[in-house]
Amino acid sequence: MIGMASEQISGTLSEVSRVTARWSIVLPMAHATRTVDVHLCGWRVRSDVPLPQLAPWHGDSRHPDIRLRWLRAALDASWPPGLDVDADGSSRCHVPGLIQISVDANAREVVVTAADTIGAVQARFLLTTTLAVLSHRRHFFPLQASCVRIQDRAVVLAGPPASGKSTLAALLATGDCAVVADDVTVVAAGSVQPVSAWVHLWRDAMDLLGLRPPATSIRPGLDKYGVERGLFRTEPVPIYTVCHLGTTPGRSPAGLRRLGRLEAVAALGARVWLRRFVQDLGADEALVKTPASLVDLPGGHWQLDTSSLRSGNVPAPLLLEQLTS
Amino acid sequence: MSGFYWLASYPKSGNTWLRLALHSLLAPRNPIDFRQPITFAPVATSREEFESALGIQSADLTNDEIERLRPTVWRRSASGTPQFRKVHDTWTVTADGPLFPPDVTLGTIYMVRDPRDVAISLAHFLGVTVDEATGRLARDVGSRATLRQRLPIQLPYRSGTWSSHVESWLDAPGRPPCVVRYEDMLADPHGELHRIADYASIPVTAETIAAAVAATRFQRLADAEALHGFNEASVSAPFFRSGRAGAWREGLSRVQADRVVRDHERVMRRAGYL
Repeated sequence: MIGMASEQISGTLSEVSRVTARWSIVLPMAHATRTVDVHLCGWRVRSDVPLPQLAPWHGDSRHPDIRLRWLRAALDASWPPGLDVDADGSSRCHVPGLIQISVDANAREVVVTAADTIGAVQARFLLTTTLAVLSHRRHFFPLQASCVRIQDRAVVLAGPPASGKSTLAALLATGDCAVVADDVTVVAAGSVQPVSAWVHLWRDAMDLLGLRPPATSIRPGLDKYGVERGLFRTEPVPIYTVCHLGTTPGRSPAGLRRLGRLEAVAALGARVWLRRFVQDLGADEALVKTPASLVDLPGGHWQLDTSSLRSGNVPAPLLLEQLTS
Repeated sequence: MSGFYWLASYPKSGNTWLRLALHSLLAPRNPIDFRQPITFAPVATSREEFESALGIQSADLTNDEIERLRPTVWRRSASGTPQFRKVHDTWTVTADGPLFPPDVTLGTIYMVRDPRDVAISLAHFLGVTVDEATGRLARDVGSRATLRQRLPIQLPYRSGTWSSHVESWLDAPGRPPCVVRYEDMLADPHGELHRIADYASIPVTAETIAAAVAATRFQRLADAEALHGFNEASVSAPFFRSGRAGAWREGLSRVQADRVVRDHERVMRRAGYL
């Protein structure tokens, strides 16, 4: 798909080096690339990074909120691995061998360094770590969660890694329902800001859902695939309920259990993306205020033991009814 | 003083017992309760700790990429008071230096157990035959599948063989480890806990040692598991199943016991099992 607004960028060395100057990076841009304007959490993003999972911008004629540039160059080995945030809120993220991403202090300029291609796996870091950085800097609230739109209400599935967020989202996204976020769910003013209807599933989850894997996985060596689940819409979706996934200590899984207010606050606090970095990202107030504002939801907060996902025994219709009734 | 004490062992060698005993020593007013997750000395292969420290997801990384990033996790997390981590990894060197960097290592408490008893325990834990378990002791039982079809809850790791695991930690550079034999811990838990506490600079009294020993008696832990379950148990067998030393004399055939000795004789002698 081609976005409504596109242009030939005039990416120059000076522009790129301005964004990355604090990290002492001065690398030549190989050549200009076709840009496209895409929708990301309500922001108009002008990008020369290929992100086919994002919808083209069909919103107003505003100036782009965020500029995403691709610097085709070798990775700079001097960058420390992982995410680093400077005192002014600018950041750089280095996944050795794959990608480097810098975000300026105003969260307007994102520079992606990758030598050859930006494929599905590189895009994953842009749509997780970088999306969370942008959200914090712009005072949105990124949760470690996937999210499904069900009858114009958002069911947020929060949980630690490997708790089954994506699997459950794909499972619930049937009929009129659709995935709106995978792994990072961005919340602003009580609504989820949609990212994409794409969800990433391992082979065991594909089997559980009876899905045929696409021809190529997201990267060689990983039996994991991107699939689109439902019809994507860009409008914010009011949050109806948050379901906190995980395993329950004790003799038997508790199934669905409604959480009390204090439990909900604690559970939300634990699921803030980049929690360790929020102070440097200038979003520390979010830790105090936003979770509290998310506590009193129409559908409340639930805890779900997802060990049943691993056994393939998930009563999806029953779960859907309980979460949305 | 900030950094880590590694509670290291080959799997099924008494690491959880050691961890619960140290938890009791350090937090005597916080009794062991299997209805809650054990938060003391979290496992070193926690995805959540990796992702929290680095700010990136682990799910889409290869095993080698994850291994290479793990030393950075420890360097970023080594602040505040001494921390403890449960470790089943072998001591190894990654592409970016030692997996457990000496500069953030305060010490290692290494728990070792007769591999013939480990074989029986491993067989029950994994739900495999004793022959399969003795075979696993001679090869890497870590989780480093080449084509990942699902996302394991923990990060991939290398265990090495039983012999290579033991020697990797005993011969690791830096401060020599405090080696604790499972069998000695059973025979003299008070004395062994004192020795461990001295090594890790944990202030103790005779009363706190006695309380920790009482809180982690095998039968007490087995009873608690029977009542509440234990979220680190496998589906195959209770986690606190036998708690004996020398069970191999009844549990292994002569051929099976001889196979373990043949595979690990040199290191078994070094650890005092032959």
